Amino acid sequence: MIELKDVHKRLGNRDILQGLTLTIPDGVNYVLMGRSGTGKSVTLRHVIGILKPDRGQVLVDGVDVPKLARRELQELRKRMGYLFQNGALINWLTVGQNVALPLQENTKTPPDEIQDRVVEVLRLVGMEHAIAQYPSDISGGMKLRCGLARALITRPAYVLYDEPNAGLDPIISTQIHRLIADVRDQLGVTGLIVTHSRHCAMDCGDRVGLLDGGRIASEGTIDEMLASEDELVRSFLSGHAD
Amino acid sequence: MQTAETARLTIDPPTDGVLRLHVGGRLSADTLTAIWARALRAVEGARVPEVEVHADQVTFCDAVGAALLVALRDAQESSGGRIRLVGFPDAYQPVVDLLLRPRPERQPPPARIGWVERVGRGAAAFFRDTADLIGWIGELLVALVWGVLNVRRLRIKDTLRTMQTAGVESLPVVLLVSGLIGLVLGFQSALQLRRFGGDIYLANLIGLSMVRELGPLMTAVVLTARSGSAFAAEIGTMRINEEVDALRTMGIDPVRFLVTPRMLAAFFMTPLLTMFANVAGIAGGCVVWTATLGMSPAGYAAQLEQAIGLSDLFSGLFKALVFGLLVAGVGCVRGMQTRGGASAVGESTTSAVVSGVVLIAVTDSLFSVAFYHLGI
Repeated sequence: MIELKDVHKRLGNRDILQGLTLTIPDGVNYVLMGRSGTGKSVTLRHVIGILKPDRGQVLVDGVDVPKLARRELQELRKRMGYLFQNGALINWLTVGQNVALPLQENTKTPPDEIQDRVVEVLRLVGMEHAIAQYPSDISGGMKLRCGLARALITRPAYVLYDEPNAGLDPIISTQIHRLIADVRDQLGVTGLIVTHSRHCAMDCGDRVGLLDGGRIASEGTIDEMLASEDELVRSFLSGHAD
Repeated sequence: MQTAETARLTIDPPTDGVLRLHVGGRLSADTLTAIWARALRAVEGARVPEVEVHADQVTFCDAVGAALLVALRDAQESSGGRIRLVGFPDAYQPVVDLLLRPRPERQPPPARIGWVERVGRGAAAFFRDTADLIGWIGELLVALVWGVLNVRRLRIKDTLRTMQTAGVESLPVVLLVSGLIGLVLGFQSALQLRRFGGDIYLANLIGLSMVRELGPLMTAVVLTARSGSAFAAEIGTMRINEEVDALRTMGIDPVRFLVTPRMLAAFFMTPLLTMFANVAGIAGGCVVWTATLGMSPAGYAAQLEQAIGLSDLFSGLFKALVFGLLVAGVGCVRGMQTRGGASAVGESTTSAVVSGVVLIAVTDSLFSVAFYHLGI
């Protein structure tokens, strides 16, 4: 379970998070929505431990992430996957080498087994044919799927998705949404998804939280949010905001 | 288009502190001269708290008509009063709105900073940068030592790839620059030495200059321009594209992953390139020796053998090794420090080259002093 309790964060001269409290139960995809600059990606970076809060707690399975030592944090990160907007693949490594990276660098898994796992996760995201290609030779949607494969290769308990459909056309976006839902259903992975897209929320989300003013302004299941009378919620889920 | 319609103005005597102006007809550049001065004088002369401009009879208003209303507002507000526009036709309202927008409040000029505060801020920034740099030097050394101690976990392919791009591919430039330096040095020195009958010492001069000083220096400068900048650009771009963050989220230390192979590549390749640079520079000098002084290459070689000792060679190579680490370290640090958008990558690249060249010059001076005192 991921919990954020009264998290405050100031970056530069802006208060980004102002008492953010959030609970993500195991096995659900939690969609975090909100206007640009409201701290959605900052929230993800707190969960993975790249940023530390000025005040408050960030708990993953009851462990306070900001208090972890460097080595402990690296251990925690092995149980988490993170999908960046554009996949963030290393451009001089092939797709297969990119996907293998977390196992190669952090474990003593034999090369044969790593290769099997690479093929397995690439097959899961429908990218096994691109195993020998370089990131510069594949499309944005394919990079994203490879990024997801890399996030899944360590068999993480949690995957954090940062704008998984940014810059993609509606067809590819829908494929990515299905993939995220499959990851939850087939692998039992808990997901925290940051997005502007109501389609994403509806396709693969279980719960939706709307971030405004540095804290959760509204929260509920997709159906509850769609039925909400709150103007901000309605403007977001009707697709007019941002 | 000319029209017979004119602008009209009627002025009521002020009552209860209110001056009422009635304007009508066509308010445009060709009609307003008749009423502009009269209306303005009335407002300025009345000095009443409030002016009402009744404009329900206006049939046309262009920007000049709106400018009259602005002039009336300015005149009334400068005497501390206020002005109201009554019954103005909706069709022309946007023109007036545009000109009658409330004036933006003047921002107070930024507070002037005294020289004491400026010095303080500069000193604070300097110490912050220095502390940052010391932290980086520590991280780089740890990464380098880790690389040496964990050869099996080292990314050998990445290291070899960097050796290829930063080292092998730099060889033609290093050879060209060093060869020309040897040639130029030879020509300049030959003329002077001939005047004193010391032609034969040309070999000594070129050999020692190249091996002890110019070989390592020119190699380091070429590597700064070619590889230090490339390291900064490559790592800076990775930072902007969140690839460095991606490494962290995978539990991979970006310094070990990105910096160690580059530092090791520079560590091994700079002395090797310096050897080639030395040979190229000495060969350039040999051209002058044979072509200008008319002496044989064998004599040049014999003279070199006498002049250059192993300590000269190794002191130069040691310098090259340190320069290589500096070039790679500065390039990687500037890349890792990249913040912001694509333009920040350019700034990091420039900064890597400038810092690299300055550091090489400073370190070379320190080496010269140290070697002099050590008798090397």
